[in-house]
Parts: sequence; C-alpha cells; structure tokens
Amino acid sequence: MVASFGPIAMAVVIATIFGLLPLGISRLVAPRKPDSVKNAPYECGVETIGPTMIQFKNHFYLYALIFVIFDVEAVFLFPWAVIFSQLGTLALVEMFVFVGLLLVGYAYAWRKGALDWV
Amino acid sequence: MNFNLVLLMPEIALTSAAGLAILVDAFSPRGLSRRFLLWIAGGGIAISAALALRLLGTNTSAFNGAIAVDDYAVFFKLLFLAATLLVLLAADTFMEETRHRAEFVGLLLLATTGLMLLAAAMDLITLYISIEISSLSIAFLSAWDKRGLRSTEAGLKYFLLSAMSSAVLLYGMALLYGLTGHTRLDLIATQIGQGPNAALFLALAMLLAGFGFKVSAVPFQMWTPDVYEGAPLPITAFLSVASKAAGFAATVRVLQIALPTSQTDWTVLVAALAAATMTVGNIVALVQTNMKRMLAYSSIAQAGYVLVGVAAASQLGVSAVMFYLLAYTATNLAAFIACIAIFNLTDSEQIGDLRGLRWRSPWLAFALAVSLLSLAGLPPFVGFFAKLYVFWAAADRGLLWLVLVGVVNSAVSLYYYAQVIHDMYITGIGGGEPGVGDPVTTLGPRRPSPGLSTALTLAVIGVLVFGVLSGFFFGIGDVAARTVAR
Amino acid sequence: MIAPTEALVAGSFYTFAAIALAGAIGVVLARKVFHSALFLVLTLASLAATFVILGADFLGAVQIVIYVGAITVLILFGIMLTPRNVELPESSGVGRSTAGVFVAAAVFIVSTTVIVTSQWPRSMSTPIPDRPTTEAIGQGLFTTYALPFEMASILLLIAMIGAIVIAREEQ
Repeated sequence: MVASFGPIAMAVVIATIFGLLPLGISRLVAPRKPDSVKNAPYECGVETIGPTMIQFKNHFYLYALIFVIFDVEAVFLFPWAVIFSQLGTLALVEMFVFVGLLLVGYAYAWRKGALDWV
Repeated sequence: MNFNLVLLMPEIALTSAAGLAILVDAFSPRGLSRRFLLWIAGGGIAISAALALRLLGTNTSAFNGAIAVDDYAVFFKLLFLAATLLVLLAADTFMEETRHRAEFVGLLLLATTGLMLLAAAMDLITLYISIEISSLSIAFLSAWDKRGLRSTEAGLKYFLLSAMSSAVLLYGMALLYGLTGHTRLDLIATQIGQGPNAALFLALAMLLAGFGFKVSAVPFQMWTPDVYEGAPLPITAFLSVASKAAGFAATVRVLQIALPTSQTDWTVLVAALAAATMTVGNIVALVQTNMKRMLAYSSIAQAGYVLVGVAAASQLGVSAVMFYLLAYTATNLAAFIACIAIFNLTDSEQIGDLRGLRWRSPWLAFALAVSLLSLAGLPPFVGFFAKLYVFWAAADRGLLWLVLVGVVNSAVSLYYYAQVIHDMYITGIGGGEPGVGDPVTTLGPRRPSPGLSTALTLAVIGVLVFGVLSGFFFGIGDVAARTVAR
Repeated sequence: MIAPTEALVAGSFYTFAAIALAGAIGVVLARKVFHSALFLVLTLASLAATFVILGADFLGAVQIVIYVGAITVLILFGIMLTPRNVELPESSGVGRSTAGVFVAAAVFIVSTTVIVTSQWPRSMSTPIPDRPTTEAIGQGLFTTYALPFEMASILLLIAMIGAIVIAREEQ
C-alpha cells in the first residue's frame, strides 16, 4: 500500500526540483547590482504613509477558525462515505447529529454577523 | 451494539438546553432576558437531574463501553448539576453586566455536560474528549471579561496549560494503549500483566500529571491562583468545585478500574502527591492578602485531602472521596458565593477589607464564617466529617504517616481561616463597633440580588445539613462507591 | 539481505523523520514568529509523510488537510493579526534556556529508555497489515466510538461559539 504512494512521492520530488532549479539558476547566472532605489519597498507608486505592519481585521481570524471547524467536519465525512453502504441508516443518523450540532454553531455565527464583512 | 439513548438522556437534555439558550437568544430580536435564560438553564438542569435519578441502580455500560451508567456516575452527575445551578443563580450580577448572557449560560451548561461525561467515562477516548469539552469551555468562560487584562490572562493561562496537560495525558493514554491494545478501562485491566513495567509506570505518572492539572495537585497547581484570581468569580467557583470534583471522579475511576492496586501499586505515588499538595497549599495560603488567592491556595490544599482518600485505594477510600467532594462542593460554593456578595458590596478583594463585616452585613459574615470553619474541618460542620472519613480510610490502609501530615496541615490551615473570621468578627476599624456615619457602615450600591441570596442560602444549608446528616450521606456515597471500587 | 523496496521505505522514513526534527528545531530557534510558523509547516508535512510510510494513510491525509492546511492558515492569520511585527526577545536568559534543554533532554532520555526496555505485546517485527485504513477507521468511528465521535461535535461547537464571543470586535 505504501508503494501506491510512490507517484505522490515522485510528484513531491519533482515539484521541489521545479521550484528550486530556476531560483538556483538565476542566482548563478543573473547579474546583481543592488542600489538604494531597487531595494526600496516599492519601486514605483507613492511612498507609504504610516507603519506598514498594521493590524488586520479580526474577521480574518474568525473566518480561518470557522474554516478549520468545517475542515474537521469534512475530514469525518470521508470514512463515513466509505462505510456508508455497510452501516446504512445508523451512519446517516449519526452524521446528521454531528452536522446538526455544528449547524447550531453555524446559525449562531451567521446571526451574530461573524460571517459579515464590515 | 448498544445504542440505548435512555442511558444518555441527562447529557442530551443538558446539551439541548444549551443549544436552545444560544439559538433562541441569537434569533430573538432583542436577545433573551436574564430571567428567561435562567428558566431555560434551570429547566434543563432539573430535567437532566430527574433523568439522571431515574438511572440510579442501572449499573451498566453503554455505547460499547464508552461510558458507564453506574451509581458512582449518577452521584457525580447530580453533584455537578446542583453546583451548576448554584453558580448560575450566583452569577446574577455578572450576567447583568456581560453582553453575552446566552453564550455564558450555554457554555456553562456544555461544560457541565463535559464534566458529567468525564465522571462516566469508561473509555480513554471518551475520557479525553470530555476533558477537552470541559477545559475548552472553562478557558473561554475564564476569559469572558475580554476588556479586562486579568481575565484575558486567566483564560489564556488556563487554555495553554490545559493543552499542555492534555498532551501529557494523551501520551500516557497512548502508552497504556500500546501496552494493552485496548482503550476501555475494564479491558485494560485484564491485559496488564503482573510485576513492574517501566512503560506502565510512565503511563501512570503521565495520567496522574494530566489529572493533577485538572484537580490542581502540587506540582501541577501553578495555574490555580492566577486563573482563580482573574476569572469571573462565578466561573472561579465552578472551576473550584465542579471541575475539580470531575477530575477526581475520573482519577478514581481510572485508577480503580484500569489499574487495580493488586497489579500496579500507585498508593505511594498518590500519597506523595497528597502530602505535597496539602503542605504547599496550606503554607502558601498563610501569606495571602487577596481573598481569591487565599481561596485558590485553600482549594489546592483541599485537593490534597481528597488525594489522601484516593491513596487509600479501597472501597472505604472511594466513599470517603465521594463524601469529601460532596462536602467540599457545598462548602467551597458557600465561600465563593459569599465572596461574590461581599465583593459586590465592598469592591475590594483584600482580606483586610473584610474588617468589621459583621456590622455591615451580619448574614454574609455568618455565611463566610460557616464555610471557612467547615473548610478548616471543625465540627459540627461537614468539613470535619469529610476529613474524618478520608483520614479513617487512609489509616485503615496503614498510611498513618499520611494521616499525620493531614492532621498537622489541618491545624496549620485553621490559622488562615480563623484570621479571616477574626477580621470579620473581632476587629472593627479602630478596634470597636463603628459609629453612625463611619464609612464602614455605608453599604455599597449593589446589595445581594435575590438569585445570589438564594444560592448562598442553599449552599449554607448544604454545609449544615450534610454535616448533621453526615452518616446518611456517607452511606449514599458508600453504596455508589461499590460500583467502581474493587 | 534487505529487499530494495524495504530499504527505500526505511530510507524515506528516516529522511522524513529527520526533516521533521530539523523543522521542529527551526520552530524553536527561529527569531521571527513567522519563520517559526513556516518551519512548523515543514514539520507537519514531514510527519504526514511518516504517517503514510507507517501504514496510516488516512491519518497522513488528515494531517495534510487539517494541520498543513487549516491550522497553518489559522496560525498565520494569528500572526498577521498581532499588531506589531513580533520579534521574540534576544534571549530570555541563559538560565531559562538551559533549564529548557535540561527538561527536554530528561524527557527524551526517560521516554526512550522506557520505550526501548519495556515489554510490548505487539513486537516491532509484526508486519503492519498492508491495506487502506479509511474503512477500518470508519467502522470504528461509527460503531465502537460513536459516542466520542458525537462528543467531538460538541467540542467543535464550543470552539466556534467561544471564539466568536472572545474574538469578535464590538462597537
């Protein structure tokens, strides 16, 4: 079974090479003449006003968190789908309870405006 | 397969009440009133308790051995439900001020559900998830006052340390599973061989460390004073009684069922924990000036006394632990609820500011005095009988040195408990009864609310009644203890 | 004589284990929190690979989907939301890092000794059954461990409600 992951391993190796090779080549071949203008954060456009490391909206975090929660839920769906035909109604009811409890949280998040963009 | 939902009804009722409170509040235009939320929560708790009572004497396991439905579990479930009800009543003022009442009630009920499952857990996985359910909700509840730095610190500290202790606990469980190939406690016991085994010892140590965090036993008590001080007081009260009692319920069940002393001798280990916990808690409590921190160290010391009963590792020991937790729950709730009322009144948490309380508020002073005397273990209050049973169980197993440590500790603890009572009753400002117009006589704006008064009265009645009828209540625990003790 | 495939499997296991360890050391030593987070991704991804090599294919996939995917996003957002560009202080005292190294070494020595010297019921030479694990996990999850499975849902519900209460900005 481990052998069936061989292609994936190959893909990982090839992808790594594909990513690193151009970087390495340009490092070797490309001429480098840094000056103050080139090293400036923006080579064109207006100078930034104020600090650039500002605090982002908290909403990002809530989205990420809700994403994690539903990601976990989705992971549980895979084994459920695999054995669904064996267990039938029982598995269906169990998954409904599981998703139902999460729906309470989802409805709450929705009503409280955690999903709104303000 | 055994999917008998009747056996799970107490938990289902409580979870439904929590979901109902949260959803109805979210979907009603102006949110629910505190009174209405209390009705939902109180109804949920009452139904849950009634359903739990019906399960008395069932003594079976459910969901393929995931939970046990025995008298031991039912005893603790009723204890947690009662504690949660009192905490909710006492949280009157707090709920008036917070913007998230429904969520507060909901998470508190879900935390209680977690604790109920923890007391019933017969499988390592159920055990772990119920610990997480209760710890996560308590971490959120501790950080509830999110504008306040101390509350945020309390929540974060509790969350990080509980995650750490969960990791240790999981490692211990993994070792146990690797050794036996089972996650069910009763099956683990059948697979553990005789004789010493390094991995088993490590697993035991890690389990004790994980549970030690939950019950704040030394040396896993570091978080206790900071969290107790920073968390909203009703949550501190909940944490100090229900969460601690559930930790002990699970510890005793795991030790008694999965690791019987006939195969693994953990008596010395637990006895050492008990001695360290009592001593450290009592000695550090001596120098506290903040009432909450004093009660935090006092609750650490109390955990030490309970551990004495655990170390006894007998049926007598288990019943003594159960009775102690019953007594401690009533007593500590009375102490904390009295503190809520007093802090509302004085806006100060310093012990020194309790001076002359008896003239300002005789009832609160009396309630706090009763609970402190019971915590110190003075007759005729319930704390005395609780200690008596615990020490008796330990002596019965030949742990006389531990009993001696316990008795010396009780004497030490009397000093700081009595100090508070002395402040309240003997010292007024300037030494005598304050005159009219003296700043001490003016009461603060927030008199105890009806809910708070009810909760305090119930808790004090508990302290007195459990004390007077100690034999009867110990007997109840004794019957229930038979379902786990060998 | 070790078969070539076995050598390959063992070799890749140790490679990924080494990468995971290197990443973990990077997490601890990196000065910038953001770099720590990136090292963590490396560790988590290599762990997923070791899971797969050990025959836990489903767990490996879960590790990628949840840890490498979602949790990392959460951590990076957490860093992004922290007001300043957080740089850890130079060193929180030699004493503290010495103590840390000491504790880590003690934990390592104790657990290694225990694992090596103990009698385990299933010896290391027992071959792991060579088939996909998803079905067995499904069977366990929906029959034997049905209750813990539903309890996990309560846990997620608590996380969601608590996070919204604590993290949401209010006017």
